[in-house]
Amino acid sequence: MLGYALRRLAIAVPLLLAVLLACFILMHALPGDPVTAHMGPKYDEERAQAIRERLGLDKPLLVQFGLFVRDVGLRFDFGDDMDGRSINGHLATHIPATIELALAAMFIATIVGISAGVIAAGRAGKLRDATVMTASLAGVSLPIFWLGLLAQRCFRRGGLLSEWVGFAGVEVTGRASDATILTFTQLEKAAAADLGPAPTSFYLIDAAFIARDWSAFTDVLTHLALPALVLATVPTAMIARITRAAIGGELNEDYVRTARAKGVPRRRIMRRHILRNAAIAIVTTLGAQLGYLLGGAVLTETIFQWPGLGQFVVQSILKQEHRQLMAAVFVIAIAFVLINLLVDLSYGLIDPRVRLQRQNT
Amino acid sequence: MHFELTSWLRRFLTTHRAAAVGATLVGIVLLIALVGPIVSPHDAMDPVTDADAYAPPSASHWLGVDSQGRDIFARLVAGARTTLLIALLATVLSAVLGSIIGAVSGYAGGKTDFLLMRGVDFAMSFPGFLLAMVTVAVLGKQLSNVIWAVGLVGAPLFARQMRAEVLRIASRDFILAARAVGAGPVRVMLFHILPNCVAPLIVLSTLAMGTAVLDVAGLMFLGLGGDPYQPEWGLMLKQAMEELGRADLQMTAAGGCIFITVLGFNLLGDGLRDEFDPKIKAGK
Repeated sequence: MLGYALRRLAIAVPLLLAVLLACFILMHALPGDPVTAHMGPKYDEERAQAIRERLGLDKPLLVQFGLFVRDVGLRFDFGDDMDGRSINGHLATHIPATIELALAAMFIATIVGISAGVIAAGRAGKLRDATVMTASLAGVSLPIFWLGLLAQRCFRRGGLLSEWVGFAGVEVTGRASDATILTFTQLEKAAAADLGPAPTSFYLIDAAFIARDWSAFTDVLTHLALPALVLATVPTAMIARITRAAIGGELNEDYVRTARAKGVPRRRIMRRHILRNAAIAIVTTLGAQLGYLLGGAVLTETIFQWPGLGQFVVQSILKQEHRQLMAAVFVIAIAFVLINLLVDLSYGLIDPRVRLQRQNT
Repeated sequence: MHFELTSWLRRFLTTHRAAAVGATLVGIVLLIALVGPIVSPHDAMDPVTDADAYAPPSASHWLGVDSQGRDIFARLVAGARTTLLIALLATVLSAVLGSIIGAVSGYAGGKTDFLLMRGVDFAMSFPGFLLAMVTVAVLGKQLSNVIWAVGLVGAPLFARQMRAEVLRIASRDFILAARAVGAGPVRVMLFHILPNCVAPLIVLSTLAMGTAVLDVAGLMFLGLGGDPYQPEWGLMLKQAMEELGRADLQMTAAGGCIFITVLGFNLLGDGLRDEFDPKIKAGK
């Protein structure tokens, strides 16, 4: 297994280098001079020159690339934005926000999607199967930004549900209410003064284990629920479809008939035999979907004003913050490469043939 | 070979019920996009004179009036044209570009094939919508660049499919015969291989249209498509988001239109794939 893991790791290295090069090209391919765009009508040659010098934009391209490889590639230091604030600082708050949302959505999608797929495959061709498949096709076709807006309109305070059935409504924007965020800021200050553990910026963890504040925890959870449910729609549908197809392909295999002939209960056949064999296809989908959620939650984050990477990308484009955009794309690309690596490694764990076969070649 | 389009269509639509539903949805939306703006009594850009902003639906204004005093139904109908046209152009771009890459890759083989396919793998390993956003950022926030962005992002899928088709067909005897009588690679590609890949390309294009509509509307929704006043479904949703609670009808209608269009293309594409893919057919 270790040999297999190392070989997979070796394949990831050139991919990471390609990402690094692509990001550098991207940063310089972006149109317009970012400094001019940043200063707008108050353009002043001397100050512009000072900003260029500070950001190293006045150096020859090759030197800039060398510095880029050193800073970004080796030190993970993305430098400053136009206003002189550290981009790493921005990322430190935006990355956990996106991961928290993506994992929550993935949690929902995995459970609902696999269950729906199993149910559909077990009743192939019947009404239950048709219902699941139709629902999943509708799920894939739903514009997620529309679904998000509808959800907000219904569930927010004073929304449709409170008009119709008196539902109190929930906060629909941001990661937490101001009071909770204040609690977290105080935690940070306390940590800076060595008075307690530093918060992780994963709000659920911070609220439950560091602040140990029940009301903060429920506050974070209510903020998380709606965007996570909306974001989970497409992955749920995809996982359900793939699970059904993968299980459907196994149902007529000889080993299933043998197990049934031996009198193994249906549930046990499904869990111990069929799901095991369908696992590779399902895990591949799970990995791909998680990757899409980490980088593709742009629309959901925009609607729910969730301060994650997706929103960061949109803001960078609208403000022409080239360096910031490059940093976000770089982080998302790295996450992608890592997830693909983990998926590949899991093949080795699920299916012994994979790790052995690679060893022989 | 004699091919009766009408009898094939009748058989296809009766054996694939879901595809028939999809074809109907697509047909309705296409019809609206084609004739809607001609028959619609109001302008999509100018405020109406006989009603105030936020006016509720009436006989004259079927879906009411938006915050800028414009007729929502007229904007919806004009939006069908914008959204569909951009998505269609993007899909055509994807198909042409992807097919060329795939054909060259499959036909040339060797190092060319390896390099092109690694590039395709690289592009496909990222979320398409993010790539489209970055492409718009590089090209500039304009409507025409939305076409390029969505088109470029869709191309790798076509490249893979086309390469597989070329590899499948290139080893057949009739290709060997064509080459033996002196047909060059371009001629073989255009007149012998391409006609045999039409079916899978149609299937993929139909499915790609659904994705393209979603991506186009999404990019417009984020404000990356230039002029915010043009009638377009994604922009109408953006406006509805900014006025959440006061633009319910606009929100429901614009989003519903996107949903119906995408669902239609997906249903139709799934049906066509079942029809044309011999593997799935054999399994039935």
